[in-house]
Amino acid sequence: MNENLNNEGKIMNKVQILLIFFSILLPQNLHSQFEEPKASPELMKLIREQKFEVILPHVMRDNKVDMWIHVKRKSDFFDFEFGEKPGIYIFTDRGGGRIERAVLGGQVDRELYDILAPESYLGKFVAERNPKRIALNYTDRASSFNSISLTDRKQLSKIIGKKYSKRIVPADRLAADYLAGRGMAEVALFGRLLMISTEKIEGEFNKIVPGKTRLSDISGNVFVRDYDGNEENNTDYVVQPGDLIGILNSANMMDFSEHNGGIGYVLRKGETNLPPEVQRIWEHALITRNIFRKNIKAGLTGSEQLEILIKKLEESGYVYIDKDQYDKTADPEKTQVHIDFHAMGRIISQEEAPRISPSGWGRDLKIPLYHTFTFEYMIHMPVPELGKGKHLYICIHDGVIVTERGVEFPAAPIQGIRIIR
Amino acid sequence: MKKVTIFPAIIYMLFLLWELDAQSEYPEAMVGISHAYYTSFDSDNPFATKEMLDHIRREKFDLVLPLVMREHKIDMWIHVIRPWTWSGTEFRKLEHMNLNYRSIDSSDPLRYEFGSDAAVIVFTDQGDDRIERVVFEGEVDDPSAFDIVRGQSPFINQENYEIMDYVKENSYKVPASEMGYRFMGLGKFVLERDPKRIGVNYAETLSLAEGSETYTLALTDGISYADHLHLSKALGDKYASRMVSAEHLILDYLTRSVLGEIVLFGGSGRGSEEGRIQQFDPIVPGVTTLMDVDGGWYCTREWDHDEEAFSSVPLQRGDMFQSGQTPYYILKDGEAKPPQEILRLWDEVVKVRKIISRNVRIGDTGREALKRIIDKLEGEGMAYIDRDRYDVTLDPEKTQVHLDLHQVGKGVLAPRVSPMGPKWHSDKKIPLLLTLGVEYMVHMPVPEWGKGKHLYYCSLHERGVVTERGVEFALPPVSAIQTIR
Repeated sequence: MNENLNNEGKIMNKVQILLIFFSILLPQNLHSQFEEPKASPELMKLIREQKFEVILPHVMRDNKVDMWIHVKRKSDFFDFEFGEKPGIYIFTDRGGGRIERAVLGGQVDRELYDILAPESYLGKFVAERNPKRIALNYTDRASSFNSISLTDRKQLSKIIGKKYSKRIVPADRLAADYLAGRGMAEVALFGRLLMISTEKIEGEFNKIVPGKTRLSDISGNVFVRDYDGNEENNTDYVVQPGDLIGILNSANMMDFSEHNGGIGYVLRKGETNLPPEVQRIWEHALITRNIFRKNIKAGLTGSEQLEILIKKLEESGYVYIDKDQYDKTADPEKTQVHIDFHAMGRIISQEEAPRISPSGWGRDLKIPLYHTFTFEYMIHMPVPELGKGKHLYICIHDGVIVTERGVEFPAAPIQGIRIIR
Repeated sequence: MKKVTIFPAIIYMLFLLWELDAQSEYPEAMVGISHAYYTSFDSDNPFATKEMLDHIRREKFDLVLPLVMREHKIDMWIHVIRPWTWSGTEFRKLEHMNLNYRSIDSSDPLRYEFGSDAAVIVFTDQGDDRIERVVFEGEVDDPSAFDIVRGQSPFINQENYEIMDYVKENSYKVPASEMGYRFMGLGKFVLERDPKRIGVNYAETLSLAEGSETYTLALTDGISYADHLHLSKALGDKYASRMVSAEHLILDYLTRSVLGEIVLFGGSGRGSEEGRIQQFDPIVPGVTTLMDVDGGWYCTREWDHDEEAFSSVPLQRGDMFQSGQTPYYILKDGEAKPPQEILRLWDEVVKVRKIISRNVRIGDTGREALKRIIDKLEGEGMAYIDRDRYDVTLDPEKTQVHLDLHQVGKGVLAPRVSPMGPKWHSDKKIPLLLTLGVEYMVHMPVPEWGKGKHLYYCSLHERGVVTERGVEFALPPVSAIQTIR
């Protein structure tokens, strides 16, 4: 009898555990209305075709390249734009409004390419088109764009002959420009992904229980800095009242990706709202956002753009810092701002693309129209009442796009510092 | 005891499931727009949330409002949405969906842009790069998008005690007619801002009601005579004389999209033909009719095709029909794929689509864009027809194309690249990021089938966005003819 009771008790416990488990899961599902998109063949075809139609002619002419050869032997970062199949992809500017698209030795979507031919046709193909400047997928710098093998490079030079080999130039800038160009299907995709990552971030903030949750329990890039600038980043640090927590999270479709940020403040005992210094740092976030928004336009290089932003920040009473560290030597009355507006969209473009930042080679590249990038900026606000060098820190990370009208948010940017009780 | 503890947990779970179901069916507000304006927004687009609509509103205030007010040299814009534009009929139909947007049923053209079904909204250009946004009277869905929200006037609903008290205490201020309460205090507000040119929402030349998307909802012409009278009185002679029609301002504000709108225009992101393709019960040739498969029309046609006569005619092998945007061909016995003629039609459709996408330019009027596209079509050996009917008198070798590209998503069809509609539709210039319904009809003769026999395809509204580079699609257009075995 006792044994039966015990067994029943065990069964009931298992049922209870299961119920509790599902009850925990359900509320999360309730708020998860977005799904990361799958790359449907139709959407991929549209994106590829749109880029061939509206981006390719511009970037080839901007880079003064009339033939672009991309030798692709295996999956590489151009899978998203060209398709996954290996082959020699050749784009030729033969005048008119569009670029001829050919693939030699590859099986690709016939509706996207004008010419499919065997690889053995390469020499004749190039000679017939007589290009003046041939961009090839290599570069002299350490870069992912250095993708052609030595064997292929030698073989290609041999096939096209000395006359055309001399005309070969690295395709790195052209590749970066092409990857950074956006058609409207990508613009819409970027906006949807931003909404997905924002929702993920909200979900992560909802998990936080002050005094119990460790940063490592939260998904994404999670960080807290103390008033001296010491950072805990995805560690086992337990979230405490008074912490300003930053969470970055991402969403993607194939190699098209973005990441986005949120900020939360953990109320201290007795607090019912954000304390004045936290409200103040948020106001700085909004003021600086406005400065950035008003002063970025397509056509300038990343470094030219950075100079303008630094000037505008300084005119507005801020100190620009080229490292994401509080500068103890700067005016203690002034709030310090660091900027790293890197590209978003294609994963590779986060490094190899136009960049408004003190670092990265993309600083020399021009910001294209409809450039998808992030307003990633870090604010270090002195709190002198707590002592010399003490400061608060937040990192803003919002997805933006440059249009003819300036900078637009395709989805809602961070709306404020959320309160964690 | 155990049963007692388990019971509340089950109830809790059931409650959560019910909540989940309620929330997932209609996530938020945009379902109202989907219902009102067909093909512009997916009714099941999970990204069409209240937050997104709020965001779009703010972006438009920041980016579009200063531009259009300055272009029209208007430094104050008074937009009056009277409660009668909201019938409540549609709202009541959608009531069970827990929508928090009452503006879904207003016929005011800016109900979504301003998020209201009854308000007096005043925008003032005070010189810097931002326009002051004031809800002078009434309620809006998103108060934080405005600088000042004065709230609902106690005098608008005159069935309350406040007005009784007011009349008692302020007998000397009581207007001769209760209509005088409508704009009470507005004169002082305007005087403080001293505008030079005041745009007010009344139509002077644009037939907004007749020129709107009347399939679903005709838009209002704006304020009434009584409103104009009382508004003039409230403003006083000096400022009343500065009032002008805001009709073109309204049209420009509506048709200039921000990127948030393009994100929604791109749909749910599923972007797959799978979602668009109908799942039919097996078609039985000679038995199943077009109506049975929710078909729109036959694509295989005689010269004098009368679609109405065909809706109950059974489908046969070798027939091509269209359901939604998707064309279907029923294979004949022994066929593994559609015959050359059918495939050729699709090549012609893709050719027309490309001609259109390369020949719509920002700054063109609709009429200019139409002419350019016609020239290009003719240059490519096609014939333009100004009606969506096969013209038996034309060269039987030439594919005939009819065009009706127009703005979608806002209830007005302007700018419009079409021979149809009021003149102002085609007069209107094409703005940056116009959400364009790319609608064209291809009639391809098949002389080998007999005189006048032809194939037909109508693109309905492919979702194009006009940029400086031409028309770019935010959502994949149909990519092929589906075959049915």
